[in-house]
Amino acid sequence: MAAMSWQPVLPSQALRRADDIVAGFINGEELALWRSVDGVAQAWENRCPHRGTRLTLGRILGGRLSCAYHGWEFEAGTGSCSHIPAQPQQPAPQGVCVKTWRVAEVQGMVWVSSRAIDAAAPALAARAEQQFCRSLSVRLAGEALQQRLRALGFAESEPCIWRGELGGVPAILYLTEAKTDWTMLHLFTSTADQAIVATQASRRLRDAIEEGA
Amino acid sequence: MSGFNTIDPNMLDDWLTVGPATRVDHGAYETKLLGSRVRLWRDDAGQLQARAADGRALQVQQRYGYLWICASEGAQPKPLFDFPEFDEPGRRIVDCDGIGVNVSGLRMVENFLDMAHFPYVHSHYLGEVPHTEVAPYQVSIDEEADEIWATECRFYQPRTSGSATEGVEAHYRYRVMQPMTAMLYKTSVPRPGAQDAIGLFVQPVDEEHIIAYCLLAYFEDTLSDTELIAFQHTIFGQDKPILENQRPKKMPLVAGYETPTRCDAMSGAYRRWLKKRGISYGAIS
Repeated sequence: MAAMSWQPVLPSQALRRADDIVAGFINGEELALWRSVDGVAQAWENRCPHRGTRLTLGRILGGRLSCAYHGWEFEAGTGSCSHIPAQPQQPAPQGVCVKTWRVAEVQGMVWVSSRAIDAAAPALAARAEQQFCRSLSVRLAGEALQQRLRALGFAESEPCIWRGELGGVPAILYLTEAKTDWTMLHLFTSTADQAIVATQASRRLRDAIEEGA
Repeated sequence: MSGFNTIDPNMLDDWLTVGPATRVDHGAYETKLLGSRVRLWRDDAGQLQARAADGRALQVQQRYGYLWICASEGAQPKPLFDFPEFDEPGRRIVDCDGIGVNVSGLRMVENFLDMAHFPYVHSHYLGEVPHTEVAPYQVSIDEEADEIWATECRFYQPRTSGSATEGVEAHYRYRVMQPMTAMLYKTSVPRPGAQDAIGLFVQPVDEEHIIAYCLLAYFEDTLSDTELIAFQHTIFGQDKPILENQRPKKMPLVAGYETPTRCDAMSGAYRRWLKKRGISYGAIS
């Protein structure tokens, strides 16, 4: 899993257009994820280039992300600063930029990749499991986690995607390697009725994974 | 070994506060400074005493209603900074005590020196959109006292203090006396020709945890102590979540890691002054 370039970090539905700013984690980096006015998901380093404030504290104004500390505004797409309210008469200096990540939305998940890795976004078939249940974190990663998932009857169907059953209903897990010892699991199932069952059954999933390790 | 987790002379040779003097009114008082326990008490003769975790006696004094410790071994500490307004007739001294903040003390002081955040962090109190512009101001170094000053600062404030009833263009002066202590002077509401003084004294509990104490020397006779303190706590309470969400928690003094702009002249001078002193505690250099 460590060699993966693209990883699924968040269900697409968590990002409403020009509304939410959500924290995400990938390979030890902290992201601020949001969706522009025209619907394009954004994955930015969660740190304002001015004074280091987490951008997840900010808000979306006119399609730009405005930092909570000094109101600096950053453009969707490029992450470049376009407005500094403390000096409204002057154009923002060139080259002041939030670090941005590549983003693709596949199978109802927001996938993120470092710009340093030049691999195409994963091309995945549409899936039956459309009903998002929940995200949870486990204090386990890599091969140790994979062993536990196999022991619990899950199998890796595609990179970062594991299929199995929870409470007797179909379950699909998207895995994000958040940090070296910490993985996010995003759980989907097929129907709303099954989601109730799978969500209930998932309450024991973290313990089953961590205690069995 | 005293257990203080630094060799930075900027911390060891400076006077660092450990809280209001009232802390030792009822026996010994223990707190944490530079990552290590310190213990303070008054002896039978009423003299202040302080000891490090290893039992070593520390230099200690009471001034401006606060307790100050110099952690350095042997060295004769420099005099504590001047705060003439504290003893000036007509001013009321109100101690607001401290608020714990999970951040480097340098980030706290920089926030205290900053006007550009007023309309965002202190909306409807110390600032208000669209009055966001920071007019140019003067920054200078007092070479003799080794202090930084910002003068001719002004900012539109809808509610500049607890007694304000309408918006005013408040005039400010800022002063940095030590890496962890600063003052500001701002237009007094009851006496518009004069300036109230606010001291910020930071206790570095460790590199990323502080207690920020606030002391007022105000021309103010209408509000109660409680009202004055409540206003300051509201303001500090608004800054706390911002400060605790700065990454990294230490102040980066590495060029290019954070990007200042023209209105950050005071913050820029503070960072250059810290770099020149070779500070490492609470900083990334």
